This record gives sequence, structure tokens and C-alpha cells, in this order.
Amino acid sequence: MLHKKLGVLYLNSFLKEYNSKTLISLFVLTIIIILLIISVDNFASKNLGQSIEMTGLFGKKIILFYGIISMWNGVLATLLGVNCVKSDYEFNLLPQLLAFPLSRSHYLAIRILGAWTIVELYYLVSLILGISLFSITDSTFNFDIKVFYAFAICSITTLIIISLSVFFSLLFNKLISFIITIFTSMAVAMSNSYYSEHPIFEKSLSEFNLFTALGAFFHCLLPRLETFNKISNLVLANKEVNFNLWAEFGHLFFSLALLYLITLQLFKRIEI
Amino acid sequence: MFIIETKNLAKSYGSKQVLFDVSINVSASKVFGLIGPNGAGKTTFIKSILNLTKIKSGSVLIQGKPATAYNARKNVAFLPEKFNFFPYYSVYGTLAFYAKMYEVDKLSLREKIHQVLRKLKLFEIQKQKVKTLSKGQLQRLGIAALVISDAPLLIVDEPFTGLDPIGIKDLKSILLELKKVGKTIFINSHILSEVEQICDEIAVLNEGKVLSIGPIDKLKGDQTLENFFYNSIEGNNVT
Repeated sequence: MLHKKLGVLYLNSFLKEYNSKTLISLFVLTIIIILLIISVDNFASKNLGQSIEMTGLFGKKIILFYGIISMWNGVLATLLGVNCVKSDYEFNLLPQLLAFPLSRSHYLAIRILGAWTIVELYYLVSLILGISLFSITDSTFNFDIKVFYAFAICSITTLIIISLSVFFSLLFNKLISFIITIFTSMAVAMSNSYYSEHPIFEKSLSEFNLFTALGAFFHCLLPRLETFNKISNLVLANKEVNFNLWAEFGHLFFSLALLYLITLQLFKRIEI
Repeated sequence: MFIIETKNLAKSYGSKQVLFDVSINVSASKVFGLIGPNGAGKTTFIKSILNLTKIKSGSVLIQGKPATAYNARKNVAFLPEKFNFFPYYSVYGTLAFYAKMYEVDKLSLREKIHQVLRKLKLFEIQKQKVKTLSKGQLQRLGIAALVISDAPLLIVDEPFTGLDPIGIKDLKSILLELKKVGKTIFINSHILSEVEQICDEIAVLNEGKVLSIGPIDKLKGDQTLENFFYNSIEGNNVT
């Protein structure tokens, strides 16, 4: 029964990170951020006569908190993505794992899915913790369902970053893969921002230079990180989503599948 | 039908060819030993039959299926030369992982793990983390993973390496026990005394080429396996 084996491997992806110092450190940092927001809010209430929520500068505290944890969500996704296949390789476990009746495609998909689930669980637990603590300190139920809608859309960007980092981890060592993934993600995000405002088909060939051509390549062939970030933020801000969702999700499906297939071909070539 | 069937198997790493037209057939319920000096291509041969490496040419069938099909490895258990596992897993946890991957019945899982732990003298250290195990204990854990699989085909790469004399004796008796219950065992080894006691058939591999293959008694005749092996490598045997 293939699905049972995949299930065991999926759980193993969790246990692999169970003792991860990265996860524990980030969780401690999350609690510190929550306490900091509460302290700043108390300070603002006492000294300025109004809380963060009332200033209108940051909107609701939970939205501010959401913004902060979203920033390092990308870092966590990169770290786990780089590690999820690489650690099996470094511990020399790939021969043992791939000697089971599993294809390399099964193995790769399960490891990516495992890393993605861990990041999303971390994200979700942090949000619930934040909502709970803010509600306790405010003595009111500080909850906005939009945060969870935004979270669901943002989970797409996590999957994209993990897929990118797995791809680079097959080519480089962990540190280099981490750095390249961060820079590529930034480059993709910048390209998405630029080309969402200046559509490629509206440009003439002479308008392209090396950077804009590279940007166009990222925008067309890689999953659009910034687009889903923007959609997530628009949902959170309760604003109109001015994207063609069918086109964007269609592009996401094909570009993610392409990235996965290229990564799989690379993985198949690796001598174990 | 042969359980393992390779025909004209060739493998290269870059421009260096390491296996040349290797044709080996392993029958069911037999113990087959692949012997050869270091660098002969024994581990590469195992990697080829498990589809862990891409072959240059030839064909590999496992239980009648092409080795490239993942379900060809169904009912196959593999013990690498240096068994390893995630350092923070316990001995019990490691075996539980293997047992689940080999679909051991959930109801008897605990009982079976305990049984195997006792057999391999690992019961007392079942809660110990893998990272704290000695080389010998780690190898015993690998053998335990092999035993718990209950797979009909066992592929073991240099299983005696890293074991002390007691470990070697224990492993030998386990392999003989598995042979008795009808398992097919494929062993890569250069520890000839052990191979001689366990194997029904052998193949001598040197510089990627099969020098001789067949039933062990027929091949070596009156010689010891050590002498037969030495003469094969030196080119003194005609088989």
C-alpha cells in the first residue's frame, strides 16, 4: 500500500524537524514580538492616551503581528526547504529511503509537502497564540476572520519558496542555497511588482535590457510570489482584489509544476 | 523465475566504466554472495539493482519487474554497508519507522519490535538515541531493520563490516536462520570465511567484470574459498 508508506514518510518529515533549534528559536521570538506589541500598546495607552488600535497607524494589533510573522515565515520556509532533502543526503539516508518501494517523485513531493506543513503549522499556532494573548490583555475577543483568509493565500508563497529552496539545495550547499533562495525570491517579487504594473505585452523589444529581460523571465516562468503576497494583503485590508484570479492561479499551477519537474529531473540525476 | 536477473549490465561514472556486461541471476530461496576486492564494483552493482544509480546499458529485473519501476522493490529489504538513521530517533523509533514502511501489522507492531530487539541484543538500549550508538550497535540496528521487514528478498552490502566477532557470529546465525525459512539473500562481502559458510552460489567480481559464477561447491572444488578467490583474481582459475 503506497499511501501508507507515503504517510509514514510524511510523518517522518515532521519528526525530522522536531528537535530543530530554528523552530524553537523562532517560536520564542514570536512570543517576544507578541509581548513587545502588548507593551508598546500599553505604553501608548498610558502616555498618549490611545492604544495602537486607536492610532490608526498600524490598524489592529493582530494585523501588525501578522505582518511581522509573515516576514520571517519566508525565512523559515527557506531554512526548512533547504534542509528537507539535503539532510537526508548529508546523513547518507537516501540509499535507505529510496530502496523502499517509492519513486523519487513520491519522495520529493512528500518532503516538500512535509516542510510546507510544518511552516504552515508554525504560522497558524503563532496566529492563534497572538490572537489569544491580545484578547486576554484587551479583555475582548481580538479576532478577525480575514487574518485566516490572508493566511490561507499566503501559504501559497510558502510553498513557492520551499520549492525554490529544494531546487537550489540539490545544486549547492546549505548556506549558498539559503542565500540564493532569498535573493531569487526577492528578484521574483520585484519582477512581479514591476510587471504587474507594466505588462510585458505592452512593451516593445527595444525597451528590454538585461535586468528587465531577466525580470520578465522570472515573472513568466517562476511562480509569482509577490502577486499572492499582494492578494493576501488586499484580503487582509478588506480591499478589492484587482487581479485576474483565474489567470494567476492557472499560472501558479503550471509554473509550480514546471519547477517541480525540473527539480525532479535534477534529483533523478543525483548519484546516491 | 529468477528473483534478481541482470543482463549485460554496464555502468559508468563519467568516463570511468565500473561495470562491464555483468550478467548475474539469483534464484529464489538461495543465498548468493558477490565477492571481490575493494573497488571491484560490488556496491555499484547493488545500487544498480536497487535503481539508486542510473545504468549505462543492459537490463535489471527484480522479481520479474524492471528495476526502474518503484514497485519492483516491493518485498525487498536493503541493508547498506554503513547503516545510519536520523540521530535524534531512538532505537525503538527507528525500528518502528522501518516496521511501518514494511507494513508490519499495527496490532503486532510493538510485540514484533520487542522480539527483534531481544534477538539483536538491543532491547536494553531501545530508548537510546541513534547518535549515542557505537558503530557495532548501529550495525546491529540495521540488521534489526532487515529482520523486521520480513521481506522475501534481502540485499545486504558488506554486512560484517564494523561488527566484533560476537556480532559476526550473531549475524551469521541470523542469516542462516533467514535462509532456513526460505528467504533469498544477496550478500556483498569480502569476508570470505563467512561467505563460504552461508552462500549457496557466488560470483567473483573484479574490475567490474564477472570472473566466475555458479554454485560455491562446484566452483571452488577442493580448494578453500580463499584460495579459489585468490586464484580467480590472479587469473589462475578457468571456470
